[in-house]
Amino acid sequence: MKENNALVKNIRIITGALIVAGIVFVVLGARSNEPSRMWQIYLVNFLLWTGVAQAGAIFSAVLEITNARWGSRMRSVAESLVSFLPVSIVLLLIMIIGSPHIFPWISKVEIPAAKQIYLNLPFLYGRNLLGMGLLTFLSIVFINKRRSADTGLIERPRKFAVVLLILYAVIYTFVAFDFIMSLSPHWYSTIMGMHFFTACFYTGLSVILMSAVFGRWHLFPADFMRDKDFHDLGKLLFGFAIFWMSLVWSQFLVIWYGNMPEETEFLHLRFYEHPWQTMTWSFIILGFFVPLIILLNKKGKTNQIVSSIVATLILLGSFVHLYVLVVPSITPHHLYIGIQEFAVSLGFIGLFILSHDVGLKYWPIPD
Amino acid sequence: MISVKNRLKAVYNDYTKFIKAIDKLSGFVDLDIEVFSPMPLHEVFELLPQKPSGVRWFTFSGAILGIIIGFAFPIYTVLDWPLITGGKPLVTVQAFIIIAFELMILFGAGFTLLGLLFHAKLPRQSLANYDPKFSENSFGMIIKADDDELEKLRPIFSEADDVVVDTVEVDV
Repeated sequence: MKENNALVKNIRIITGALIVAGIVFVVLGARSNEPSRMWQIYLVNFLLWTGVAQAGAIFSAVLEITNARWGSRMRSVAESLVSFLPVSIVLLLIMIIGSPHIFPWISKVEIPAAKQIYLNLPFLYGRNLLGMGLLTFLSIVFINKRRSADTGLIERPRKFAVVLLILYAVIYTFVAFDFIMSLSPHWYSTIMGMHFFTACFYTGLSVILMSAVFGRWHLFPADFMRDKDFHDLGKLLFGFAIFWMSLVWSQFLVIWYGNMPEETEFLHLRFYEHPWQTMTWSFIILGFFVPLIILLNKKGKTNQIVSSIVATLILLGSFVHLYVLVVPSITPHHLYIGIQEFAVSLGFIGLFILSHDVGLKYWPIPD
Repeated sequence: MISVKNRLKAVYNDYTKFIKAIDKLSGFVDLDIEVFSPMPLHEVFELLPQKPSGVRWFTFSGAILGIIIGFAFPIYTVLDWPLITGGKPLVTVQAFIIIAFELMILFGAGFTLLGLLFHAKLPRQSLANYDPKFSENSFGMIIKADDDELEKLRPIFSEADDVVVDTVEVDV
């Protein structure tokens, strides 16, 4: 272990303070005159950090089925992100309280009877709690199995990894449909599920990189991480920047060409109307153009200061991306940016870092 | 300017001796060395410092050229023979991005192949430094050096199975 700096020593206090601030503003916001203002930022943060935490297990499972050895050190970092998943189930349960302020199909927008079979609160929360609970359970079992397999005690859990990946794609498609698409109940898009879980994995990679860089400087044994690991992860991040953008573009191009009223409404609001237009372009620049240009260069991938700054920008871009997907559906004409949004987001960040810290204790970095 | 240099060809039948010699040579900087082997040797890549390959500039310029053509060609054709499709403007950048993206990949890959051929000097007529043994059971290296350098390097090849020294004209 390296000489711990002040930030590492006081991590529990700092994250604790952030969480308390977050809780205070969640409660204040939920009881204010505009509860949907708080619940929409809550939903954005919930989707972002749950996706990132799940991506940790998915990263490990992907390495398992491709039999890859390049990421053997990176995956230890990735796996410790999973400890946020049990917390995110509690956060999902808390969200039930705010449902009337989130889902317009409860009272604000009338939907056909056929859709009511699918879009009703008990079924929505039932399927998502079941799905996310299953994924959380399987991710934790997978990581434990994977770690015992490393010591040679049991067989490598490759079939398990395949099951986990398929379930990830299926369950996260439902999550995207229920928590993003159902917010504009008359709009539909079949690519939304894939779009969402790819974005989650992409954001997850950027958080893994940030965590690995921070760990290398302050936490891990001196020779644990190598420059080559960061080069490899940088390549993957670069590839996913293009893949994610190609999905965004596939979505955009088809709707733009077809120009059907029921589809275009969703896109017009985000691409051509103030203030969402600015935000849409900012996530395209942060999540695509910045990594494309900087990570194209080998130095951009191997220099950890540069690549961690790029990863931070990708995380910010992903936040804006989810914000643009969720918020215009709930409050189409108001962009709320205030202390409440910052406090709730910081609360989630604190909660995430705290559970990441606990995860590193539970699944320690091998010496 | 053309100058005359010594050309040393060392042939090894034994892999470990060959790697040992390479290891000693890796101490010298600015050595004009060419290595031959019937199979890829990862140790050699690690021991000998390599300049980054120039092929990547071919890939890059090919990709940029592909993007330019990918936009220029559709724009030229729609303007030359205007057909309005689906009520969209003639020059639809949104749709042409796809063509530009595909041509970026096509031209990037094609130029990479050209760059590879260019840098490997393929196809070549004369194989001046090559010895057929290097494709069979021998490892070898060819070093171009002046007299002083050659004297310093000579002891390294004491374990070689065959050492030939001659002179060659080199562009400086």
